[in-house]
Amino acid sequence: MSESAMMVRTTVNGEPVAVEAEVSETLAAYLRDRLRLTGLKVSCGLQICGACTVLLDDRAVSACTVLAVEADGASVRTVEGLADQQQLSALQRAFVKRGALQCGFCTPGFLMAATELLERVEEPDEATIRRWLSGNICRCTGYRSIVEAIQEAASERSGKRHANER
Amino acid sequence: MSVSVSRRYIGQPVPRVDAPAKVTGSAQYVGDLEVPGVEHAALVRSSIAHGRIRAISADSAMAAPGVTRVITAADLSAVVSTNRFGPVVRDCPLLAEDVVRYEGEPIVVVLGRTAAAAQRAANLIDVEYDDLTVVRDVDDAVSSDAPRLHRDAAAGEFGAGASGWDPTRNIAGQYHDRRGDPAGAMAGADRVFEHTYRVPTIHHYAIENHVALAIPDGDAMTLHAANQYPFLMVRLIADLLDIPESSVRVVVPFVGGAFGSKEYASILPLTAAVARLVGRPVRMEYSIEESFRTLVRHAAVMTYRTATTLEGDIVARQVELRFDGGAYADQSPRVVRQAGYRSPGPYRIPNLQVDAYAYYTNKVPAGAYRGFGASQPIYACESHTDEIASELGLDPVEFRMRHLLNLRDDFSVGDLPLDCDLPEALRVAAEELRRPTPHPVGDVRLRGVGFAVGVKNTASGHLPSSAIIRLHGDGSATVLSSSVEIGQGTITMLTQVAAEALALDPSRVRVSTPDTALTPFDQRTSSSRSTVHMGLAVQRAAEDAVRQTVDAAARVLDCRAGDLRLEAGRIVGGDRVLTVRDVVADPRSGFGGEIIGVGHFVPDSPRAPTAFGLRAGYWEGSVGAAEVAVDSETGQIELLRYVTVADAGTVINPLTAHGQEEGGAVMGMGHVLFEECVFEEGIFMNPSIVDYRVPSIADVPRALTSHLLERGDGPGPFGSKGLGESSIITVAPAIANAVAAATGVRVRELPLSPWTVWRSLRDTKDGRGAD
Repeated sequence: MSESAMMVRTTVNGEPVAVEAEVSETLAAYLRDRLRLTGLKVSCGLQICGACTVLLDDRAVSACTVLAVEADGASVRTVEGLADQQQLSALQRAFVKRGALQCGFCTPGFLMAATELLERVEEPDEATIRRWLSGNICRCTGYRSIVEAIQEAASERSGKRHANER
Repeated sequence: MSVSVSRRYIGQPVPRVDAPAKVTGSAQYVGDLEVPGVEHAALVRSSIAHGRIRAISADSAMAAPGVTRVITAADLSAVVSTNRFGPVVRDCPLLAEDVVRYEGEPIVVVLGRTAAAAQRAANLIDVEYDDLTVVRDVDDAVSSDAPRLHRDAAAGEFGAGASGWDPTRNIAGQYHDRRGDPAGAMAGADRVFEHTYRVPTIHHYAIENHVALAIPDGDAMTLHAANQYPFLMVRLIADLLDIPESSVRVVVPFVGGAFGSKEYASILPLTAAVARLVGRPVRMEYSIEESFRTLVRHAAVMTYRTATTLEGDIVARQVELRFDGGAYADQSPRVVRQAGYRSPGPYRIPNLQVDAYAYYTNKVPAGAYRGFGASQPIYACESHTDEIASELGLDPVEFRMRHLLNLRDDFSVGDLPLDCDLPEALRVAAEELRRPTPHPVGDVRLRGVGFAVGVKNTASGHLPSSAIIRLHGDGSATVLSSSVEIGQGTITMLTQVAAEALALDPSRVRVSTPDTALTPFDQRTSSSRSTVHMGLAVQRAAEDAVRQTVDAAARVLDCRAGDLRLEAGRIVGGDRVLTVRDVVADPRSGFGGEIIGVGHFVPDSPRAPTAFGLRAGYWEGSVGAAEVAVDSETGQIELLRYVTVADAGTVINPLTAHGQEEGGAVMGMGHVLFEECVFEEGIFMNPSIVDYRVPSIADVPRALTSHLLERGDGPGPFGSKGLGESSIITVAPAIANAVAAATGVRVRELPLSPWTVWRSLRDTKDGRGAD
């Protein structure tokens, strides 16, 4: 190991991972280049656009401005971990059905930010959805289909929750 | 031959075929590719807008850790046939040699084992300049004192458009048109209205920055590129490196947004030349700041003069457009020709004069941008139209209805007649906004509604689109096409067209992305042309495959081909059913393995006797309508409702079509409300997403609706036309007109920032917001 590297031990999408990182290395570079999880994208590099959003201990962060070493001891979730085997999550299915993506470059970031939203807010209203996702930029869709997809996934999930409670 | 024409898949909201890959993160973009041994390129860019390079000090860079090579233009001359490229005029160097012409122009390439090492070393390089006078904008460019930024240049791949090039006047391109007697009509007119409008430079801001990967293999070269015209890149790179086109392979996976920023070469020639020089794979990926500094959309100063009778009938129009082309011509000559041609608007105008110029200035080069020169003049024309109506005391919708061209009227005699029903589109939009959004109690903001109408021609010239369909033994099909999936949904649309034409479920059709070693020729993926051009090529390839299959089956079954049809991947006729494999495996068929169908589409009569010179294949037309609320205390504009109505022919996929219309509308909102590239003395002040604001999810009105008018009369498959550049071209004037209606004050520049609106209200005694 080089002088400027550290071992980083995390859980990535539920799997334990122990891979070293340079101390100045971003979490984005660590995930994309070392672990080959290329779903998250780096675009602005300044935590503005949200294309690199991942969940660090279940909180949405911009991986481009988090150091890989900060993930030591933490759990990381990326877009690659949303589907259960071949089964897309409700959110992923809703994005596909509603056409909530076009070029797809911002999509992993939106999915992770929306996943955090749906884990924290039971039935978000439209204003909450727009506020929560205002840190993710899309240049293609105009956002309406994204809002609808999130609403659909939210109702599906609360529909299931109510069904389970009976 | 008979193929089912039941339209099972056309017009259906088929989910995007690339959506599963994109929502799971498995979709590949150029930046995701891993190549062992690749070296990373970082660029040293000019820190001044105009100057002569006196010295480059690169010693510390060459000694820096992880650096493998430092490369200047002189080094590249060993491997390139010319240091100049450009689609119309070859005025642009791969790396600056003696003169830099814009702040940000590439001068030196540093190669390193990691991107970080290359960038750190690039930061150590010092360039000394002797400053030259900066040509800041079009006003400077036309001045007789201004330096001339270019002298000689050879013609580029589209050199036929270079006829207006006049470097002695800093003109990169120009366009002129005369119809009737405009000067005479002006002189004798009852009323003449003149207004000048200004729009700033803006940037595409695709979320994927420019990126390319060049992999040399002996004399051959493979390029993985985010690029909209792979076959042009083959020709350009082959020419540049003096190798056969068969030795150049360009592969384009998914592209993370383009909007014209990836339409011409940008990053590719330099990446290829560097890889050729060092003989190793090279990766060049720009930061977002670098993408800002690569290509922009033309700023423009636009003057419209219109003469009317006392009753308000238009008798003449004169238009002068001055486009800011930046330091290199790029597509400016073609953009300004299109801008000039579309500038009069879709109205009956008996006497017309258009003079349009693109000028060289010491700023980032301007080039293709969604709309390709349509948005700027339509903003000016439609604002001007509202101002005329207002001054004449006429309703803006009725004033337009009086003059709008109808379906099948001539936009310009000799071109394809207009195939858009604009009066109908305007009626639909007006009806949508007839009832105002209710005012909440206490909301004292000013309210207004505005409309805009615009058309753009899609004139692709004579270059073809070709497609190959391979029908496999199990009846499934692979479609080879070089149309680029930039997000617009081309792959899905082609899947549906092929499925319909093959009578095959879309899940059994797979459409490729471009790989010039395998997929046949297409011209650029731009100008909303793919549905018609590649759609027809795919449809014809499918029909060819079907005909061959059915004929072969007829030989096998010893019956007439007319008694058979292809259905769900099998050949049926009466009580006989054969699989494709049955057919190809049988020696009587004349085939083995698979059946290959080929289709081409070549526009017939591509030329037109108009000032523009090329004939439209079809027209994209839209109406935009906006309802706004303006806070006179802060100048803040809220978009309450936005409606876009486009003329679509036949909608192949409503999900992707509406997605494109809505996306274009929101992109256009950015232009009118926020977006502006700010230059001071040629220095780019805000090339970053911090200081350049694009619409976020919070900016979009809840009531955003898109309408698509369908008459099935497009030239494309199943009566389709192009979409994607329709909604964006009318957003700026629709919103500007709504704001003017709300406030009673007309601002003749964009963006309509809160400061600009607030100040206009304070400066005008007539404004309703004035104290």
